[in-house]
Amino acid sequence: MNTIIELKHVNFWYDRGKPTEMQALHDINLQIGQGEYVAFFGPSGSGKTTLLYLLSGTEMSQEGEVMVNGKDISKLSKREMAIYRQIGVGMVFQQFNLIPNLTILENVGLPMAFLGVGEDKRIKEAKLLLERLNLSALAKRFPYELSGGQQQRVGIARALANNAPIIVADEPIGNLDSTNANNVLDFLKELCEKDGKTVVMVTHEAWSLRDAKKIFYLKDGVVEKVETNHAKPATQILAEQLYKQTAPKRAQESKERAVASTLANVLFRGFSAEENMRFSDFLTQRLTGQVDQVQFLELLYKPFREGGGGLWKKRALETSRYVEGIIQEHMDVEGICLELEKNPTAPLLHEIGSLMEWLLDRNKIRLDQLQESRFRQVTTEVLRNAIKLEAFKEALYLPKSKLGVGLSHRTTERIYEKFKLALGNFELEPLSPEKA
Amino acid sequence: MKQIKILMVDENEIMRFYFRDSFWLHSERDEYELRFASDFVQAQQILREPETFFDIIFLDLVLHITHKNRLVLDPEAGLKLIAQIRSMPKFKNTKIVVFSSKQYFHLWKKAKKLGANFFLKSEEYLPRYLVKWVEKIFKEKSAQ
Repeated sequence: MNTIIELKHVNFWYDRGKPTEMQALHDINLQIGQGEYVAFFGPSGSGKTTLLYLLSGTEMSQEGEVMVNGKDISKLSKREMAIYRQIGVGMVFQQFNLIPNLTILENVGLPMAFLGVGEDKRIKEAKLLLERLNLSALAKRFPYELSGGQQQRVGIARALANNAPIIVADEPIGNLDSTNANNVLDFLKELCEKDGKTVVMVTHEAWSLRDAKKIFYLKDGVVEKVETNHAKPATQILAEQLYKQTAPKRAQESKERAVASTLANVLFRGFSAEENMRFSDFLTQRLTGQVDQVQFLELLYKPFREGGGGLWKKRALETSRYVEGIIQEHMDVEGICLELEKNPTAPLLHEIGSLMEWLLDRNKIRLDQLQESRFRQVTTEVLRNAIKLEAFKEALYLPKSKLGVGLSHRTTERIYEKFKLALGNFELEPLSPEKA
Repeated sequence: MKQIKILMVDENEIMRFYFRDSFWLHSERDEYELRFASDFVQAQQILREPETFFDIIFLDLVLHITHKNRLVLDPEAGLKLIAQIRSMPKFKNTKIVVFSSKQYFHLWKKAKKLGANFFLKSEEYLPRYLVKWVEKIFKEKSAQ
């Protein structure tokens, strides 16, 4: 594989020579192959975004070489660097950074305009990109009319506009819910596998590393280690499938493990992959009943070097309460669903009331009377299996004028994730005509 | 694999950078050897170098030439250069590509008569497409 990016003895300082000088990168040496999908992973302040800025030409290297396809971009003039930024790299941002007073089509075509591409050609190319990302219907809308996931897809389309060989993504899923985040990751993978682009992603979320072939772990401006993800051979995948099918008890445990993994990703965003795995283990132990509430709390609080989670006491307590809430609500939801199976018309006012209290976390989310009534209605409909969870989410987000609950996008996502976890893998059977 | 030699004649520095960087970013290293002329006179000097040869020459039609001791912008200066290139035996098989704005497309017939092979409207070619186009042309040339 050809090396398309190579950093040699790169050091970088912010505010160099000033009293506020800070060295962000220390003697970085790394190589990225053409068509590779790599990730820079680490906590805040580790230098991963600085590295990305050097590759993308947003910052000029001060020491060392930043080689792109054999040429040191740290030696480019400002003009040359501006052109490199236009045609060498496509950037995807965490905050999307769309131009608010341009339509989606105009936003995607904008990079081509700076390149001097004629209007007809720009429109044609932009439409093709929107079609590829299933955004054709939104071409004439403005960014504020789109959801976060849609805006990020527009951001990706824009990054592809000038057909740059390198795509850099700075925390691309940071502002997205899990569904949209997965869609974005799938697309980045596709850019690499189908289009042959070199994809460089910066992230601090361990779960988002799933498709990266090479992971550079950064801490305090240093590349601590480099890991290569190898694709599983077909025989291994087949063996894992057979294992799941022939071991039902283990399949049940793997259900808890799946829930634990999801919960870990929700609760421990920003932690390292190793920390995340450890929390996931603790959660599995709690969900399968291997440890009780007190033991679970102790695990969270125990120092990391002694095999614990290393959390601050307050965080450990909050986490423990949240998990107990999930477990309790899951049992309550199971109870509710079993009751409804026996007696589909049971009012269950009290049970649904306490579920609502928990979902809304009364200290934080307040509803007016109309919202409360609608919220109760859609919650009940999910439990009676009259609507799916996705429809519940839509109803929460829909404005009050359109008969929805009228919650903000963020609140909707929070409640949806909580309800999903509480439902866990408890499968609601469709109501038969006799029961209905 | 034989290196493809390209000359690009364009007075606009930004266009020269785009052209150069397109090949830098979208081709294998050392696949192409690029040279640039920033004006009519420099282009003539390069073409007259004894050992110099090009597989493909891209040129803008609009260049400054000296007329009565003054530099004037001549939309047909490129046509003069095409005629000169074709008068030199070493360039008889060289592909000549007019790489100009579409507003000068009306000069294509004249350019073709003088020996140009293609007209590419510069507004319609994104960097990667330009490189692909050259790859395609050179493969066709090799096949002949």
